[in-house]
Amino acid sequence: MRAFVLALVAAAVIAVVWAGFLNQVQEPVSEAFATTGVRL
Amino acid sequence: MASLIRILRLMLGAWAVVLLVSLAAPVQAQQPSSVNPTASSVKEQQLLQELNRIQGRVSIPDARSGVLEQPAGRDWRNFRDVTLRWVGGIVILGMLAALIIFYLTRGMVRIESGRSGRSIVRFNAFERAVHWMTATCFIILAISGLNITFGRPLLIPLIGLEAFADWSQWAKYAHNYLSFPFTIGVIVIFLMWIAGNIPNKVDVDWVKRGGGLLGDDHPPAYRFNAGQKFMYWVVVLGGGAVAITGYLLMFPFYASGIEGMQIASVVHSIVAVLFVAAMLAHIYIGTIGMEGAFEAMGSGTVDVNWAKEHHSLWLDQEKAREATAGARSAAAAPAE
Repeated sequence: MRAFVLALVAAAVIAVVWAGFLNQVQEPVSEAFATTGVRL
Repeated sequence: MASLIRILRLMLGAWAVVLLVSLAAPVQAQQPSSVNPTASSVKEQQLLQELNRIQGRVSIPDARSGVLEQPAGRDWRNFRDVTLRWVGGIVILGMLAALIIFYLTRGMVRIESGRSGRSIVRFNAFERAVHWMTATCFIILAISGLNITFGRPLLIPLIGLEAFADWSQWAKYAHNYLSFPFTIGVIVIFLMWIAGNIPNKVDVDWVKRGGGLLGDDHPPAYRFNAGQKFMYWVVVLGGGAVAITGYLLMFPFYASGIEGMQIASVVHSIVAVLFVAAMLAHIYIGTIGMEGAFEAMGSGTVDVNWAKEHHSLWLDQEKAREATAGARSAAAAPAE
């Protein structure tokens, strides 16, 4: 049971770190597909 | 006389009016009765027939979005909407049906000699934690991935458009974010168990004897039998394939163009449905399919009789190791 809980915690921590990285690297659609002339 | 002149003047005026009207009529006839500004523009079907693609110019930064339709894109869309649903449905439902039939005919594989009451460590805490981290991530990735393929036809009629949109948005977040702990889990599993998963002669005999699943035969096996080795390589190679293709899709246009991403999508989805089917078999044999198997990943220990019946060569190795360790500690103890 302890190994299972540890697994869930590890997965959650790694996922949060990865989510932070993805949010840094990937632009949101409203920025990636917009210019000063076109705003989405 | 004066009246005659007035009549002549009137007739001349009328004639002049008629002449003017008749002169103006051909000009009027040349003008269209109604204006159709798109009459000369190309239709979508004409573009498809002549160029085999629909492409234009867009004012947003991504110039690639100017390609609205292209032959490979139509093939990919047909694969995603039709072929994949059939292949995925047949593979996954076929595996479920096979497992149900197998369970109903064979039943649970029991510990033939009964439980001994003595247990032996099969997987330590680190191995179990890595297994469960990979497994829980896989289950969420599988459900959220199957939602992309089957969600629209299956869930929208049940829960409606708005609920489906909310659920799919969160499922997509989960799919993206849990991909990384899953990948780490696959890499650690590869390194952690590679030594015990190289095929050898014992596996050939194990396969020839049906792995002991049919009848009461118990072919010998080391720590991992041929069936477990097969699952190991499914996880390592299948997990590697879905991870690489998944990251290609997660970072669009970083490493490939649209054609590369279409290939990545096809490989990702085909490997994923095969992976799901294989894991259904793994979950079956690890739970209701075999008595005592779940304990290996649950508590980490298995009954000695279970080990004797399913992994007799591994049990011999463990006993020999214990004996060696015992002899060493006895030799190291100071004499009284």
